[in-house]
Amino acid sequence: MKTTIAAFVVCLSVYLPPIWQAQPVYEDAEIIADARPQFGGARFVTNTTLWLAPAPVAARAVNLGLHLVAAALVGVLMLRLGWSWQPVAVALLLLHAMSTETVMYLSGRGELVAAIGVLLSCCAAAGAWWRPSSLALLAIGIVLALGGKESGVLVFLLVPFTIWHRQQVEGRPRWATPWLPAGLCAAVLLGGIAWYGDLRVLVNIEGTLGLIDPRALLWSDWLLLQGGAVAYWLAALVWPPLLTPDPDIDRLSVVIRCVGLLAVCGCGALAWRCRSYGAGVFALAVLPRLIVQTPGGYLNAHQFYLPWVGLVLMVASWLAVRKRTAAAS
Amino acid sequence: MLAWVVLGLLALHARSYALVWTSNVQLWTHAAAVAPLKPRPMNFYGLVLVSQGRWAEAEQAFTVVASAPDLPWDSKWALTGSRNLRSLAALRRRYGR
Repeated sequence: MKTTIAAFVVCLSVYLPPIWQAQPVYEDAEIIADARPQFGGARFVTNTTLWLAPAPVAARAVNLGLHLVAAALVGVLMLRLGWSWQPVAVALLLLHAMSTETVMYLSGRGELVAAIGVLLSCCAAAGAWWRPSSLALLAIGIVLALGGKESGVLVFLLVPFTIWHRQQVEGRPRWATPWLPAGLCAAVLLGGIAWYGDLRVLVNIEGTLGLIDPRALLWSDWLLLQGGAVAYWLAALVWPPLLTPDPDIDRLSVVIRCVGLLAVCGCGALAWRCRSYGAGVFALAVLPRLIVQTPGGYLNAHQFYLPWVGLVLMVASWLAVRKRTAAAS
Repeated sequence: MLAWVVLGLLALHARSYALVWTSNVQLWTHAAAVAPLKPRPMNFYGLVLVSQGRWAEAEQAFTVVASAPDLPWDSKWALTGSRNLRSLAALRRRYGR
């Protein structure tokens, strides 16, 4: 526990001095100007928090607080999944510069709130999810995820996945099959798409604004460009100096773009065949981005926050297995 | 032990990258250094240079933007770069060197 507390203290010492001298950057001023608390509106939780603390220093301090909460929830999720506490994994999420854009840029607020909602829901789903207390926690998580950002709909993929992963929870009543939440979440997702218009409307958001005509694009453009962005961020995890607000994805070769797509598909296969929870979170968190995000707006570092959490969970799972094997031998 | 050394190095890098996000000048200078041929960061970097009166360097940045290829998903930059080059030329005429 001491090492985890040390990681939290180091995280505070890393971010507090830059936060103290922060000025509005890039689209910060527009984000603050658009943030009006309107219950039930798009991103209402994010907008309310931005409206309450709009000053550059205060807004970033709130982001940092949310990042610490998200890291703590990742630790709790490890325990709920039956793994041992892994301070190195929590420290990795706290201290790697992959999280820096999410903390220092106000656009990251939506990702942080949505990630907290998703993690809260996954914590509830990882145990006896049919109990009233867990259902209440699930509901709170879903409200936070959807009120954080549109990408919070991931909660309807990750909750059934968590329940499927933890099928062997004891004392499950007969009605609480893993298919029940999966069916409910599928119905909510399909209903949401139908209510919004249809999938084409969702995909063509930028097209309606006149920025991009999605009909001019091929599926290969669509998938491979976002695949290239995934490959770029995976490379930046290994070599952090690559981190930037706007990487040059257009100049990546087709091979690198295919590597990104293969990484997503490989993680999906790993989740299915080996029941790797972190790999499943990574694949499911990236997959909708490949469909909904237009190629003109690449997956950027703050949008990579939840897939990054999935990779941290992969590391945590590997460390837990290694520790168990070492103890057994 | 090795893991904690690596985490220490990562924390040091996170600290320096967090400083990049404290002002537009540092943000776009860093972005232009990492992606020197990408039009969007070069355009913002050019605007930062104009605000500092570094017109010759701004011209170079806008030239990169103006020569950006038209992509089906990102086609506005060549136009933006040319417009900024014209505005920069007008500024230089008005205020001299």
